[in-house]
Amino acid sequence: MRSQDPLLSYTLATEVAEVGSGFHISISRSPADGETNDKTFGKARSVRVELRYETDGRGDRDSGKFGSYEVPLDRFGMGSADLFVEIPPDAPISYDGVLMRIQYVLRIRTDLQISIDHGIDLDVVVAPTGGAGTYRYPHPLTSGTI
Amino acid sequence: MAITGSEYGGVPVGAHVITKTAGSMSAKIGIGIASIGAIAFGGALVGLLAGATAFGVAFGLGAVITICIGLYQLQRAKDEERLWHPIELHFPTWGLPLGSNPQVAVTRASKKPIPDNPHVEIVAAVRCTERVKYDVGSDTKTETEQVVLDRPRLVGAIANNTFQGTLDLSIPVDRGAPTLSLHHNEIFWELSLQLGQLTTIQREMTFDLLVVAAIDRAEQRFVDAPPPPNGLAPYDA
Repeated sequence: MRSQDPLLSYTLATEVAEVGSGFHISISRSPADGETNDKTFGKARSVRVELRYETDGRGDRDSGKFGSYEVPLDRFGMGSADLFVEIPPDAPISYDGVLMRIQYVLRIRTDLQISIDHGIDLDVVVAPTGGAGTYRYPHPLTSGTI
Repeated sequence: MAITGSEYGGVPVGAHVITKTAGSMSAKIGIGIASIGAIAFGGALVGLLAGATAFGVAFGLGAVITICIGLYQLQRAKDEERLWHPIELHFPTWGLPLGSNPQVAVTRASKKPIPDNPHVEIVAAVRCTERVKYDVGSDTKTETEQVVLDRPRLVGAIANNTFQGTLDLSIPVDRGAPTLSLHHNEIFWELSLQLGQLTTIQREMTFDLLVVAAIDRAEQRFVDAPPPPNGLAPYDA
């Protein structure tokens, strides 16, 4: 299992976005207060961000990714960027069905020279167009009264 | 099937018309059956020439019957095309957003005079099906699960040798999902109509629907679902 990059911080504006829209994420890699033993010093070259989906359930897995954004780091392994990760209008939505489930993650990887990359997967929800204010979990909605 | 407008996208685009002839599939089936019969007849002739008289006669009879069934099917398909124009489904928008309630105009005209009927009800069904494929050794298994089955009303009338009706379609947001086509995982929507007196050969016709990843904001009777269970347990247990 990949370990999380201790020097990386991120801010995800919202965990739910509509197809045709996207996720705003701010990435920053900088020394933390009191950090004295950075084992990745001089190794970190960039931070990559991509949106990935994967099916799960009775069938074999299908997966895909949308966009791939790279944030270059300086020679000290520091850098920051504000990214907008786009979701194509024909992308599948997050879904929790009977035979299948479709799950999305925002994958953040710190590219390290001659080392296993650090990384983290953030669970996100891709909702239908017009559903950002309604959905918090994968489709479908439940009968009820708003 | 004629498709106009955007075939897939986040936002519904334009009106859409589907036309379909019931006889085309029936004609293909008829030709297929007749071809099998012809091949079997050839086999019977070879058997007769080789001296296997009993085999040749029995096999030949079977082949002739098969050819007749195929030709009968073909004739009925031709009758269908001779008697009926293709059925037309007029969608006000395409694709169909989740939670939408489009009214679909259904039209079928006869090429021959048919009696007027002020009330014709056609049995309709809307289905959403999940279909998954998985490999077991060298085999590929397929499983399907129907997650939506609605029976909308299609009521109309026959006047001037033409049936005209309105189908109150409803695409739910609490079941099913937008049309999806991945390598191993699919979600597809179908509308089937049991045409009854509006056809000569086939009781049911099926039409593919395109449900897009958009939600109709007019539909406010639904709330967010509870969170799904953690992990992958429900499917593999």
